[in-house]
Amino acid sequence: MMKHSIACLCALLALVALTACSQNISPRPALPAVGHPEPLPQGRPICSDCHEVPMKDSLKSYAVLDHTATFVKDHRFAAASEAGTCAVCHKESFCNECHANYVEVKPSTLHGDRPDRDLPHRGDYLSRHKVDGRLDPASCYRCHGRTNNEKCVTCHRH
Amino acid sequence: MKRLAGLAPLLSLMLPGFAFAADLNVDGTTLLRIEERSAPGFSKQTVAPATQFLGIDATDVGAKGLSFHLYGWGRADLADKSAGDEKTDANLTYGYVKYRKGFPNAALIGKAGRFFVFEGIINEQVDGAQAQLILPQGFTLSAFGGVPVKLDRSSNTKGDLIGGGRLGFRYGGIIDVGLSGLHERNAYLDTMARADRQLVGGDIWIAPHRMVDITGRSSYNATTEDFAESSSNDNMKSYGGSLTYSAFKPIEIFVEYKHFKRDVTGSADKFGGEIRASLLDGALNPGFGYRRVSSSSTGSIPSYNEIRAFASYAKGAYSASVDFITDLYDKQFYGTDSDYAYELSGSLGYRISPVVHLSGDLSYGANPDYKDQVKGLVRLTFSYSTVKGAPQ
Ligand code: HEC
Ligand code: HEC
Ligand code: HEC
Ligand code: HEC
Ligand code: HEC
Repeated sequence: MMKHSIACLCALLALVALTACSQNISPRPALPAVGHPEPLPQGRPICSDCHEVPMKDSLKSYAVLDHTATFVKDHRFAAASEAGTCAVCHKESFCNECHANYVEVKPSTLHGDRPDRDLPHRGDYLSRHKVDGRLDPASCYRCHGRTNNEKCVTCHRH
Repeated sequence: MKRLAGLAPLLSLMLPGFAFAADLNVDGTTLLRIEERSAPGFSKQTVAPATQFLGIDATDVGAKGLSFHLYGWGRADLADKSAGDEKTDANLTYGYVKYRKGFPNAALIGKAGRFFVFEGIINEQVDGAQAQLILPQGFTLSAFGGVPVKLDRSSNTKGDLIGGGRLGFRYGGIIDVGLSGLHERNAYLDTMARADRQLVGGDIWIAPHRMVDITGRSSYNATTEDFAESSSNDNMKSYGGSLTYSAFKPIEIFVEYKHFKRDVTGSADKFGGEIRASLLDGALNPGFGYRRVSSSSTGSIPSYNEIRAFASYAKGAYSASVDFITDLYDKQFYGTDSDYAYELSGSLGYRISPVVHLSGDLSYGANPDYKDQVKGLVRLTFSYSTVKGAPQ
């Protein structure tokens, strides 16, 4: 196994070395380099700051996609009908860091350097999840599925 | 590693295509975690998993409109086993080819491989194909079919075949409605028995006024003849709302309230809010949050206060952040002698080159299960793109 991980690391370092001299920057890896034609300011974008006319195909006001805290919490409504617009700025991996069946680390660990993001399960969640889970189990099934993943099965039958 | 190895032939088939790709993006994250774990009833362990995440996006591969997307990870444990029975593990989150063709008033999008479907009430990961049609007059039609992606250990929990779709209609920027359905053959239901799973449902978005929008979703489980997300022996309901208020630009205030009612646990209320700011041209981002859960049945759900405070700062090649979260329970937590949990963590980062970023996190905490817990992590990310002058 050590061999595997060393091989992985070597491949990575080779890639890094190959590209280190390149000046092509994409500082937010989960956002595609092409897509949105205008550079966005730091943080969550407020679309209606720049977009005054409605969206081309759906004619909705851009304000419905303003990335306010409410939008971030309730983005499932926008995602259900505007998935194509999300893809202008977000790679699918951006969504799948939080939404996946089989994820290696919880999003708040993967991006532990980004406390300003709204990532699931801050702090140690294994003990604290019993409360949230009992309060609203349906909300957990959205991501964990009715049939839990490998880690949950250690303690939960199904 | 086996499944990632299975990808090698696919990748080598695609590689010549990459040479012709108009744009190629490669992102990777390497994580090395070190944690000490001591759960009651288990012996103390040190785990040191090394994980590699890899994402590839190539557009206009060979032909215009044809693109390739892949994301997955592999892990090797350098000390004790960190999860499951094996010291290595890997998973392909998605890997598909996509084709998009635009017409004057319409578009056709096709996908094949492993991907997620988020549409209307559908939220599935499949190995299969999907076609989407964007039609004139505001209609959209999409359909997918394939094999549901199985979870590793309990690999019998998914059905053998799955299919579904959504028909959507939008008009004048004030209404957007959809009807969607799903059929999974031989799925595994709550009861441990196998049966077909059928879901039908609708989603609606109405905006009578620029500042107001109303959204809703409801689904009906045709298999159990019940509205989804509830089951006959344990009724649950929740409702609530939230509001974002931005009095002046750099400060955002968010408040929320939610009421929960569930047969087996009684009712509970959750309310609270968050205030976050963006200072020094977005370089400094502090935030503070408070939440209160107050429960009518202190037996199964303890009432508690949650407090969180964080700040992140970035300047030039350097970045730093701190994060603190604590839960203070009104009573002892589920038969333990503890009534609190907290975690304090900090992170430092440095951009080595335009494409490579290095960061390290350290956290310390205590909770009813773990007395004192230290976790460390080193993170190396690289993000390479052939796009010249890519927007940031
Ligand atoms: C800093 C200003 C700014 C912000 C903030 C911003 N945009 Fe844009 N956006 C632009 C400009 C400029 C264009 C190019 C001109 C145009 O198409 O209007 C553009 C183009 C677009 C396009 C068309 C892209 C294409 O290729 O067809 C979409 C879709 C879009 N923006 C969505 C959004 C969404 C959604 C948000 C909020 C999450 C947002 N934008 C935030 C400035 C901005
Ligand atoms: C104009 C580009 C743009 C478009 C279009 C866009 N987003 Fe975003 N989104 C961003 C940026 C930039 C961020 C902030 C990322 C960060 O903080 O690293 C963000 C953040 C988010 C977050 C918050 C993540 C977090 O952890 O705080 C969610 C959720 C999200 N977007 C969902 C969506 C959905 C769903 C759509 C489509 C309906 C969408 N976005 C469309 C640019 C966009
Ligand atoms: C920061 C983590 C995060 C990111 C990133 C994220 N989501 Fe979500 N998503 C959530 C959470 C949390 C919920 C559940 C919210 C709730 O309880 O209503 C959710 C719910 C959803 C749902 C509803 C699922 C269901 O079955 O009810 C959809 C669809 C969805 N997200 C799509 C997306 C898409 C598309 C993206 C990428 C553009 C995305 N999400 C990015 C955290 C995230
Ligand atoms: C937006 C998607 C999302 C939602 C909603 C969500 N989780 Fe998670 N959760 C994740 C991801 C991703 C992980 C990391 C992968 C894993 O460990 O399976 C995770 C991990 C966990 C873990 C393991 C934590 C650890 O330290 O190993 C627990 C326990 C958990 N979730 C419980 C819950 C409970 C209970 C709920 C409902 C109150 C919930 N989750 C809702 C995405 C979600
Ligand atoms: C270390 C053991 C352990 C692990 C691992 C674990 N749980 Fe739990 N979970 C518990 C205990 C103990 C309870 C409280 C007793 C109960 O309600 O079953 C609980 C309760 C829950 C509940 C509330 C159940 C209900 O209907 O009241 C949900 C939901 C839940 N867990 C989800 C998850 C998910 C999702 C994961 C995996 C990401 C997970 N758990 C992993 C031990 C664990």
